[in-house]
Amino acid sequence: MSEAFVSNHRIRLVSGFVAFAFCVLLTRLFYLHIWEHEALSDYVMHNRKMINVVEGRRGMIVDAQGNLLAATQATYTVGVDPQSFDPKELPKLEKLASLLKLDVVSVQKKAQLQISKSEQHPRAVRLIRWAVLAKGLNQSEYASVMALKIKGVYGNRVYNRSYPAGTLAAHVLGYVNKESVSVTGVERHFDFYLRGQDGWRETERDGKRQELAQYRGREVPARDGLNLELSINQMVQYFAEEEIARLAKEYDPAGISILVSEPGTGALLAMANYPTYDPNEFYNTKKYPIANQRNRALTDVFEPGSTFKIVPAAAALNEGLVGVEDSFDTGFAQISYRGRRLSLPADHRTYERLSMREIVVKSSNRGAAHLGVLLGEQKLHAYAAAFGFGSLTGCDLGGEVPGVLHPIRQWDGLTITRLPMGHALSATPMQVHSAMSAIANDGILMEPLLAKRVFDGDGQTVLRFNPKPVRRVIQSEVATTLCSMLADVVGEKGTARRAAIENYQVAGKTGTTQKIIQGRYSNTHHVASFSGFFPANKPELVITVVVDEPKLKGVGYGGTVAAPAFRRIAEGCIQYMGIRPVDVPADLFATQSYDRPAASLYTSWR
Amino acid sequence: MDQNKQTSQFTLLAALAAVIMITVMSAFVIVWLQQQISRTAQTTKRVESELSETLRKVAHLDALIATRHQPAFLQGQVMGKLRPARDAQIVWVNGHRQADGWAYTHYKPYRSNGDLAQASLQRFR
Repeated sequence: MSEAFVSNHRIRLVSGFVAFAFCVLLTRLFYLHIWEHEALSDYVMHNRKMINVVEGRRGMIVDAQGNLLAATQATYTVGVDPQSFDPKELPKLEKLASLLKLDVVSVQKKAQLQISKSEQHPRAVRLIRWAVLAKGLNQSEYASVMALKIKGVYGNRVYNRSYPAGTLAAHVLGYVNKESVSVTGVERHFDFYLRGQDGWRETERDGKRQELAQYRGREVPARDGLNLELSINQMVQYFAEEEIARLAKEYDPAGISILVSEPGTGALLAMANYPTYDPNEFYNTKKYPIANQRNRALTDVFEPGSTFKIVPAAAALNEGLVGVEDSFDTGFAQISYRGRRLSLPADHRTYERLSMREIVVKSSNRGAAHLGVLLGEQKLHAYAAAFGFGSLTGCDLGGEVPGVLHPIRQWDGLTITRLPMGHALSATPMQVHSAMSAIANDGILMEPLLAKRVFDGDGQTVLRFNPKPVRRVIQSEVATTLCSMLADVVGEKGTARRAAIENYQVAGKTGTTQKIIQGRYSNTHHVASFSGFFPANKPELVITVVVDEPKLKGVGYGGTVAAPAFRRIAEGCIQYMGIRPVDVPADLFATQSYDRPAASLYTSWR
Repeated sequence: MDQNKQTSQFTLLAALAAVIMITVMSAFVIVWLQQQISRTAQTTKRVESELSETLRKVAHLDALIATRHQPAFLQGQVMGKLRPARDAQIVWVNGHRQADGWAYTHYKPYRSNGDLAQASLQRFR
């Protein structure tokens, strides 16, 4: 049996080396874990620890029927990492290019170009880690891209606000920009409720910067934003915008505003303007100039013209100064007022005598001036202010202007005769609409209501916005009398015959205003308007149409341009909302008993 | 004497073996626990990720549905196939609940013809 020879010297040398190595290791460990413990542990923790932000989603905006108008959606920016891309997968790029609607050659070039040269230092190069291929891919498009399983091709998720309805109700909704800042519309006005509150999570990551979920520590959960239900009705809004498109095509105007609301609550069912924009493409100022974002119904003022005549008429009746059949001598061009001779405005034809009713029906400027003189400055101004002229209506959108209703001390000698015909003041379409709504609402001025409620993710109401009456402007009886007078405006002898709807009694007032161009009233630039409601004896809807500078042969009268638009919108609303012709006598025609209500009978018949 | 010594040696060895075994087992248990915690955390993370993915898909689908429900889109779908009901086609009825069910009356002068369209009285507000 042989025995291996082991040199004592060699054993000692190896043992000593191993012992030394251990000593070095122990010393290093001692240094790292005890001597430099604090500094190094801070360094390690700094590298390992991370705070993940958990994004709170912005709430939705829906219309009165729950149709989605604005929501937050994930979109993807897809790119390629040329360092990870495998050239064997080049054939897959053809499919990728077709999915992204890109040129195959450019995609192949981006996938294979691994370095880029600096422009400042031509000899310096850097590795390309990310080359963007396409932006704004939606969930399904991104899923198709990822299904190709191309190594190095992936996307980064970003959350964007999307508006599925496109241009529909754009001015009402407003938009949220790329920096997640709400800019206009209800997005801005109700930002406090809509915006979510981001949460955060303390966690750790490994060397590959992947989260180690087991080391999650403190966590503050994200809180999603609340949702907003508007009073806007998508279908009514569509009727209004369809009509705007028709008017724009026919008259090529400078601007159009259409408002539809319920007089009883002040709830706006539609608010549409021309020109408009798509909030999904707010940044595309070539396609949608920035001026298109203006909500003209609230920001643009015009001289209301004859639509304002409801104010002196209502005031004179409310003060008991005139009766409906009292007549005025409208054949003279001058009138004596407080010891002065004042010239009266002309009508498009001369009327010798007009009754109070006829002044409204025929929209007589001279007759309105008589009413103004009868009222006097104080009362005329007080009623104009009471109807909401010269002050904000309180609509829940930014940018509203109060218009101009000059204080009496600034009136010149003619204002008392010009204000009653809607000159010498300026108003927004919303103010004209509110004033007409007050008459339709039994004399009570309501604040426009745009938001119905704020609700949480479970649909539970968090905050409800109730109708707000501002003030009673005129007595109920006067409002009823005025309604019947305004119904005659839409009658055979009135100025708004084209607003008439078969079987429905419509009431309203036309307005045709000359615009002031270079300091003078122009004969070629007009604002055509019509504000009315129906059914006249039980108003369900108030509709106001204002068309700025319609281009047509002759004068763009309110009765010619705006009244037909009113009728078409009203007819659409009648069909859609089931508005009944209330003045038809309820003569019994047939009776039959069923065990179900009518709506379910209809369903079963289908 | 020897027997006592042997007994105490055995006891000592047994105790030592037990301590070592418990220590080793505890170490394994701790490792197992850590692994389970890690696995559970990973599962939770995956479920969270799937949940948010599902929510994103739902949001995308909602937006898609909303786009398809746009009046303009719907009108495009039925262009030339449907038209609004004419006034004469609409029969307005009043509903009254009675003991034996619902009774309906409808108005003159609207005369019904064979080509009827029923308007639901349920208001959209």
